[in-house]
This record gives sequence, C-alpha cells and structure tokens, in this order.
Amino acid sequence: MSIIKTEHLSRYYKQGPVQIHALQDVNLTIEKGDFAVLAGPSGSGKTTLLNMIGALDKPSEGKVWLDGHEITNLSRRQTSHLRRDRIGFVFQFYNLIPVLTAYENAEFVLLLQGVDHDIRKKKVMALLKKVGLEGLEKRKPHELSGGQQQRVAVARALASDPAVILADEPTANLDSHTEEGLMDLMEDLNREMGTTFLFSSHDPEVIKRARRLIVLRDGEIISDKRMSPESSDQSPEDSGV
Amino acid sequence: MTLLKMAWRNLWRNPKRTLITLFSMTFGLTMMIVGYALSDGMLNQMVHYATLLGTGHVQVHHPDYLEDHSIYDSMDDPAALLAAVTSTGLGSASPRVFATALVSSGQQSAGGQLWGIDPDLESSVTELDQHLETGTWLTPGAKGQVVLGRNLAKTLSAGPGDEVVVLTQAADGSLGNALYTVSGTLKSIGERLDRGGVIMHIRDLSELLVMDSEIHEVAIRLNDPNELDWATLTLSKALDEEKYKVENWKQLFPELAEYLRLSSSSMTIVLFIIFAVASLGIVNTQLMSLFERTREVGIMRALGMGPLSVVWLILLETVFLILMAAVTGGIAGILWALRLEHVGWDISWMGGSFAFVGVAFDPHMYATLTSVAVIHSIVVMIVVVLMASLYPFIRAARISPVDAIGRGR
Repeated sequence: MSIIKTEHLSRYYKQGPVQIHALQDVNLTIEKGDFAVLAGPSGSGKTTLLNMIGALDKPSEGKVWLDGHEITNLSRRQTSHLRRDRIGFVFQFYNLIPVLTAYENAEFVLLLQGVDHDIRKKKVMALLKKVGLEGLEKRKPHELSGGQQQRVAVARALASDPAVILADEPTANLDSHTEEGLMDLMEDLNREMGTTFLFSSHDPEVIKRARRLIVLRDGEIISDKRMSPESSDQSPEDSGV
Repeated sequence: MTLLKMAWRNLWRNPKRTLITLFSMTFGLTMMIVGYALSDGMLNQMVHYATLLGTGHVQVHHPDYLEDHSIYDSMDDPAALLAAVTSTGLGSASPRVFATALVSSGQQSAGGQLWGIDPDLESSVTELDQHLETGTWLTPGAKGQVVLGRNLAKTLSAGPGDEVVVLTQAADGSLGNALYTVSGTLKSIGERLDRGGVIMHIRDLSELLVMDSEIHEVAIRLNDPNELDWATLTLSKALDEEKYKVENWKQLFPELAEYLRLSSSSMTIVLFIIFAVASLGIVNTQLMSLFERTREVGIMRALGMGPLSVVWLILLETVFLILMAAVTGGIAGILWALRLEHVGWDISWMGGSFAFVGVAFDPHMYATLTSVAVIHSIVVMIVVVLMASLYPFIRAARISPVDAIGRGR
C-alpha cells in the first residue's frame, strides 16, 4: 500500500532571468513501512523533494498524494493541519524549541492537536523511554547532547502517529557513534512499529542502512532500488551515489 | 498554557535585551504619568489663579459694565443684592468697586486699576489675602491702606510703609485724589492685577469716587465649583435679568476655558507622540528577536503550528512586557507624581512667573495625580506598543517554514 505518491513532480526557481530546475518530472511511490533513503550529491534535489512531500513547499508542476489524499492544492491552514497530524519531521540541526524541555518538545505536536493532558503524558513518557531518554525529560535542549536532541526529535515526530517520518540529513551533525545509535533506533522503530521513514542523506552510513535507495541527480531520479541485506553492504558508490 | 510558558521563557532568553526594553517602556510610562499629572496640576493651578485669585467662580455686573467698564454702570443696593445671592446657598459673595487712576509714588507714576473690596467678605471669596509678596493685607476697618500689584509696586518702587498718591475722575465729574499707605504687595497673579492693581477698602474707594453705595461687581465663590453651569443658571434666575448679568469664569475667560477643554485631547496626542518615539526601540528589539528565531518559528510552523498561533506567541511576549512595564512604570510614575503633588517642582529658574491668556501661574508647579492620568497613560502605552508591534506580528505570520528552515543551513 503506497503512503506517498508523486506524479510528474517538478520545482523550478527563478534566479534573475535564469530558471533553475530543482526537481524534474519526479514519479515516486513510497510504500507503507518503507525505510527509504533519498541519496545524491548536494543540489541534487533531495531536500526539495522532501519539502514537497512534507507539504512545506508547493510544486511548480505535478501532484503529491499522502495516504491516498492529494495534498498539492491545500490551503495554508490545511497544510498546517496535515503536517501536524500526518507527517513527522526530523531536521538536520537546531531541531528542537530551545525554551522547552525534552518532555515539552516531544509533547508539542500533541498540544497543537489538543490531546488530553493524561493521554499526552502517558504517550510522551512512553516515547521518551522508547528513544532511550528516560530520566532526561526535564532537560532543555542545550543540556542534551546532539544525539539526545535528535532522539527527542524522533520522539516528537512519532508522537502524532504520523503516516510517514521525513528526516532531512538527520545525522549530519552527529559523530559516528551517536549516528549509529540514532540509526539503530529508527531501524528498530521501523521494524517494531511499522513506521515509514524517508530520509534525505549523502551520509554513507545512512545509505548503508537503507532498505530502499533512491538516487537523485540534477533533480531527477536516476535509480530506485530495493536493497537486500546483502546488497546493503555495498558501498554508496556501487549504488550510483 | 504552553504558548504562555513559551512566551514567558522566550522573554528571558536574552535577559539583558528584555530588561533594556522593559526599562525604556517603564521610563516612557513613568514620564507619561508624571507629564499628565503635571499638566493636570498646571491646569488646576490656572483655574485656581483665574478664579480664587481674582475673578471668583461667578460674577454679577450691571448688564453694560463689562462692555466699557464705565463707573456709571453700577448696581444699587449692594446689601440686598448680596443677600439675594447668598440666599441661594450656592456660596459666598463679595462686593467690588472699580476705577482707573493715575498712581504716583515719589517721582514715579503709572496707570492703575483701583479695586475696592470688603476685606472680610473678600477673604471668603478669593485667596488674594494669602498671596502677598511683602507686607500685610488690608486691615478690616482701617482707612487709607492699599495693596499694590507686583509689577506696579516695582514700577513705583513702592513697598510696605511707602505712600502713594491716587488721582482719578470721580463719579460727579470732579478729580478725586488721596494719599494712601502701602500695606503690602502681591505676588504675581495675573497680567491685569500685576500691572496696575491697587486694592483698597471699598469704603475708601467709594469715598474717592464720590459714589454712594453703588458697586460694580459681586464676585461669588461656589461651594461646589463642579456645578458651575447649574449655579450660573440658578443665580441668573434668582436675580432680575434686566438689572444684573450673571457670568461664570468660563464665560469671562473663554480662551482659558477652550484651552482646558482641548488640553485633555492635546495631552493625549503629545503623550502618544512621545511614547511612539520611544516605541521605535521596542519595534527594533522585537524584530531582532524575531529575526534570531526565524528558523525556530519555521520549525514550529513545519510541525503544524498555524500562523495565527505564531502571532499569538509573539503577542503574548509583548503582553508580558506591557504588564511588567505597567506595574513598574505605573508604580514609579505614581510615586514620582505623588511627590510632585506634595513637594512641587520649582521652575522659576526658567524665568520667573508665567502667564497664559492673562492668567499668571506660579513658577512652582504642583502635580495633580488622578486615576484617569494613570489609566490614560497605560492605555496609550498599550495602544502604541501594540501598534508598533504590528509589523513584527505581520512578519511572524508570514514566515514560511521552508524558507525559515533553509535559512539555518
């Protein structure tokens, strides 16, 4: 069953008289439970594609479906609600709201949804435990390590039971040990809860973990492969990145 | 609740900046309250000077007297007139006789206006007797005493104990002249009295003018000055309209009355402008704070926070600042204004006494603090700060998540 579908998706930017093609005619389907990585060099269109799928930006041409609903022409209010209820985001850095504690950050989306206090508390505590942050609930982001901050972001992304978690370069600012721990966590969540993950990354460690690797270059998909456990051991270069 | 918490914590992310903004708002509000109280105090002082140091609240004249101040446009039977006025129970009344004269002392001479008053009754209507610069007030029953206006005394180089000669045309056409002893001189009161005022006992002046018992004016001090219009009307009805004209101080000093009427709104405009200038700093602070948090706002928008909620967040931060400034500025302003209400502010170093539409006022200003001044100042601050915050609010609402998040890369 497809969670995300894009059809002839293109995004152009005007830079003076020049038109820059950030994405060109992208047709992509992400299935429920996928653990997919959008790979490619800088400027290949990974973030632009994630922004379109996450309803953060509107395409110049083409359409996007999320969970069977077309999201391309929604109003600002509708896209806000869609992001709040159906999409989880993990960004690259400065991901958390600095004035809120780890607990409050994880709770944030549930508050926007108007979920009851008791349900919120139960859910957030369970999620923080799941991401290994039990006991650190009251810490502010600056009192947490980079890896712990990204774990809070993952907990926050999971809080609303989204259809998909979009993670834009989530390991870019982490050391290799922390990165490995974070990827283990997301793999576990994918396996245990069936959460769909779509990453953008050019990090070989993230690409190695992908069960589906979509390679972008100059705004176009140049390869889209399902990776078997054996093939995931191959180097990114072998995969065309 | 979370928005409140976030707004409060956001304020203290940069305590120095918040404290500077708070200080500027506090300072602005303090100055507004003090300015307002000083302005009210000045206006009250002007009314006080215009009424209780000369005019009284209401006056009764012969219908033609005020047109050319002729000594012949007088009112008969002052005892009956005073009885009619006091029987209304509206206040105290005092008779007056006026004439113009040439006043000399030694080699100096000047034009003067003679005020004949009853010292006993006058003290129940005006406070002239408490406004002496030198010497003493007229002694009831004593003959041949005068009190001189401040500038006239200077012109004549006359002071207490000196003699002055008064030369005037009497009612019978003869030239009346007499020698009087200066018992005291007045402080600055108003242009007319300062320049030419010669105050003497009503009997002395009537004698000089060869008038029987006629008078030119009855000055009335109301028990309740706030009932001015109603009292004027009541007195008009109580007296024969053919023989007497009743006017209150607002009718006698229309410029002053109009100034007072406009002063409240003009004060609001002045305060608005002063605080608007001060609020430029607030806009700058808010924009800086918003600019620093653009990516953070982008993250919140990406997580599903609506643009209105973002505006609410920034608005709550502003509301917290307003509340804190209202408390600190309010307390500081009230305390300062109360001090100025009791101790006053000496502005004589700015050049002595001041006059406005012929009414002088003391160079020692006293504030009059009212709840209206405090509430009005706080309302002006709220309006100005919210107006100044409008642009940051709009900017906050327009932050696009994709641009804001991209900015942090």
